[in-house]
Amino acid sequence: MPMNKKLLLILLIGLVFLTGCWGKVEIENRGFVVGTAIDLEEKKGNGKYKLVMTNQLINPAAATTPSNAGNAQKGFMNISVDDESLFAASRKMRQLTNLIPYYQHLKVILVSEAVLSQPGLFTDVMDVFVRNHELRRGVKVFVTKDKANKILEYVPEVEKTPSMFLDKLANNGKNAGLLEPKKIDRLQNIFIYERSYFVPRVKLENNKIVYDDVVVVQGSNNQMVGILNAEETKGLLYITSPTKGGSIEANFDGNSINVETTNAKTKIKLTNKDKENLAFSLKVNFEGSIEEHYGQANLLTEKSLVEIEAALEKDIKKMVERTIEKVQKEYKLDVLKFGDTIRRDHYDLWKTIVDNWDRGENYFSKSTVDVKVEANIISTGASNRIKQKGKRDE
Amino acid sequence: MARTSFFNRRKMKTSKSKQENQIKTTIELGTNLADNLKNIRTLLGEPGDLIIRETTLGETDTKCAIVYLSGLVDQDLVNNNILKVIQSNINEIDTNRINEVFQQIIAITDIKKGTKFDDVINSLLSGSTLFYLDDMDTVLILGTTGGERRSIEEPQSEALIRGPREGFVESVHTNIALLRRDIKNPNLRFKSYEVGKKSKRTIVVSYLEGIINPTLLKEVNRRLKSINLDIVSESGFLEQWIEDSFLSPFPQMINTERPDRVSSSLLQGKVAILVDGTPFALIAPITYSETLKSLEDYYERWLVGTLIRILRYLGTFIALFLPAIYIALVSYHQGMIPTELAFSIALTREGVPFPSFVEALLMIITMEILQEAGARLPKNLGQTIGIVGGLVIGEAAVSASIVSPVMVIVVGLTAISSFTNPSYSAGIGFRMLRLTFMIAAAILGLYGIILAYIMLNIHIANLKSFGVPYSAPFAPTYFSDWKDTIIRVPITMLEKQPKYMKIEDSKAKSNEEEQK
Repeated sequence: MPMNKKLLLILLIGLVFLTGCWGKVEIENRGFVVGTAIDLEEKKGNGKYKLVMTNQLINPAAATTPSNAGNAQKGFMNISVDDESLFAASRKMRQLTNLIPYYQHLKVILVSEAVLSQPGLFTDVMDVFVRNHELRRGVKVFVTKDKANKILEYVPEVEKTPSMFLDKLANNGKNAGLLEPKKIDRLQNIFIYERSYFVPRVKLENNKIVYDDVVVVQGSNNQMVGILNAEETKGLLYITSPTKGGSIEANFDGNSINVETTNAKTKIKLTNKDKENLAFSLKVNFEGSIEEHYGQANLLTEKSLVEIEAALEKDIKKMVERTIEKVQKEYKLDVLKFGDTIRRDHYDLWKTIVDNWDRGENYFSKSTVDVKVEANIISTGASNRIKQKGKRDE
Repeated sequence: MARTSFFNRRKMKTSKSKQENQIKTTIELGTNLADNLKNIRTLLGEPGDLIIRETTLGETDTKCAIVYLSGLVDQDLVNNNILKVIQSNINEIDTNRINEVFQQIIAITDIKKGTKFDDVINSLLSGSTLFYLDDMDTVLILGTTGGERRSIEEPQSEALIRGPREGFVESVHTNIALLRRDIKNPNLRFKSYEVGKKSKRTIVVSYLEGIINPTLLKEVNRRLKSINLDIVSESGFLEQWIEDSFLSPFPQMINTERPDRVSSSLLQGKVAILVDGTPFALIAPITYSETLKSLEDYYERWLVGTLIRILRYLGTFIALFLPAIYIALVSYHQGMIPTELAFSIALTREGVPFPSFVEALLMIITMEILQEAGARLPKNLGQTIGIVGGLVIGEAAVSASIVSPVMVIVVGLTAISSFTNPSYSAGIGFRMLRLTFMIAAAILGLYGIILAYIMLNIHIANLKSFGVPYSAPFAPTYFSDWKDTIIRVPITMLEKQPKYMKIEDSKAKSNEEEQK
């Protein structure tokens, strides 16, 4: 009897080894996809679309060695496949390369404006990226002005691949004055609640990547309605993520002065609860330090500081109001999350207006927003005076 | 259904262990001196180191003989305190002569009377001098144990930067003296056993009366009595005989050469077992966290001590898991490697013909071979190992694309980390476990590592060292003992003995006994 049991134990242990190593793929056999571009090739009659999926695969040999002038080997290779569905396209790619496409290191998804201009297509396209277990939730999504796969062909100077370049560009510090990118986990949330939203846009201009404006998308059918240009996007920054405001230029004493955001906060409050005349107050608290000054005035006086602050307040207010104006009156879509304020603070009211918030009756476009800015200069830089009139050595 | 004996590791072989420690002979002590001496000669096979000096008691005609084994005795003692006094003026000897010699003449403090030939011969073999007197069937056993032994040196296997430089030696008497010097306390107890069927060894159990838990002492004594070995030439024999689980990769006793380590353990209510002939003493019971403690943690200031301890835990973790994690990440979970690192690992593995498991196995086995070869090599050949191991195998294997450079880093880090374990015996266990984890990682990736880790934890939770849970003070939770585990709090807060030793019980009991 004990003999049998020992045998059973040995057989059981053997069983573990018999199954082999399922799911095992050595790292060198993986084709790391770092960027994916999705373009619309043509619209078929029966409500289906022909999509082009372009995957950017890493070429490890070139992507990890430092580049020198003579050796201009590209750190990536792009593979394009067209199909009606992205998953089928991804499967087709296996036939084109000996590597198995591997999406866990995917950094960016680029979707062309053409895709967004079709109602509902954007959500359908994103479905596979949200659903697939291999993908991370933090993949950044960008809209491209022209063909998305053109961006993937851009060869950046420092980074090895355009995808990594975009990934790092969007992460670039709080003072860069750049918008936070939309990640797929955030998009899923937006899709579910049918919110209107904006997605940052990238475009190629003079063979440089430009990342300074956003696309506004209607929540009800996920169709793009327009863009906010670079200036309006700056105003958007002060409303949605003020600390990322970057630097702002103001006029003082006839000369320009550059102030960098050190800290900023924006508060939105509902001040009138009447459905038809909703009124919001938006207050921007801005703190900055002077980084550059053309001119010779002494900045470290009560009078000049107050003057600079007033100039700043005026400029910021103008920017913010322009953005609100455009969003409210032209697009009539609440991408600024005013609705969130009501939902959070006045839920009963929100329940009565949610279906007509930025659609139907569109209470959002009927509401008024009172913008207040309070600017505060906390420092004039490491040195106040670089030069000053009438202080020549006597 | 009865459990199979395969798993039933607690079963003790007590039935067989009827003591047969004595060397049995059929020879009896006679009254004739010449016959007695002949008996000894024939029993030992007339060896060259057997010295028999026949003489007469002083100026009388009474014949007597001194018998000893040269090399085992203190020659000066024999010459000055025995031979000289016997040969000097003794005129009359009364009927009860042996008593007189015993009481008055011989100038040695440690004197016993021997009436059994077996006792006598055992004493002779352990360095005593025998004194025979004609017409008597009683022999005097004179404690003259001495001879050349190693002097006290710094411990080789447990060198500390700060701390006493004295280490145990092979003589158990010297070792006892070293402990006595450390703990000047009347409650310090040394209990001797003679163990071994073919050759007897002195084993000394040391403890502090009043601090030790009586049940622990009883258990230690029970286990020691069950020993049924031919010879106990090292404390390792003893350890393997009395340990709780012989299938466990973890040592259930600590061996140490340091008297200060033993005395600090005794003060915590533990038992130390000293074996004659080896400088390694055993400390029991221990817990897992004990194997990662070094005395230097206490000798340095507490912040330093804590930092070093945390480093040691980290080192153990690396030594155990790093190759396995490397295999799991590179073969299964490439998504968990930071992007840039993943690319460079992919690049370095380009051209390596083996899967990462084989690659890791090759390097780990190479490292183990180097380690083993280095340990056995004479000191002046040690450099060769360094050159062959580091340069030839490390460098060349990479340039020949047999292994990737990252693998060399992993193996190197693992090797260095495994030396952070202050206990060599515990370190060996980890070397075995490391292979297990690597296999688990190769089969099932991180999932496999976790499975193997759970199994290991189940084993640790199940393991006991002389009744003390191996995972204490974590698994039976004694929060107050956590002060001296991963962190080491200031010495002013470490007044109390560990709770898991159940010392309170013993104190209460001894108090009761005193009242009675």
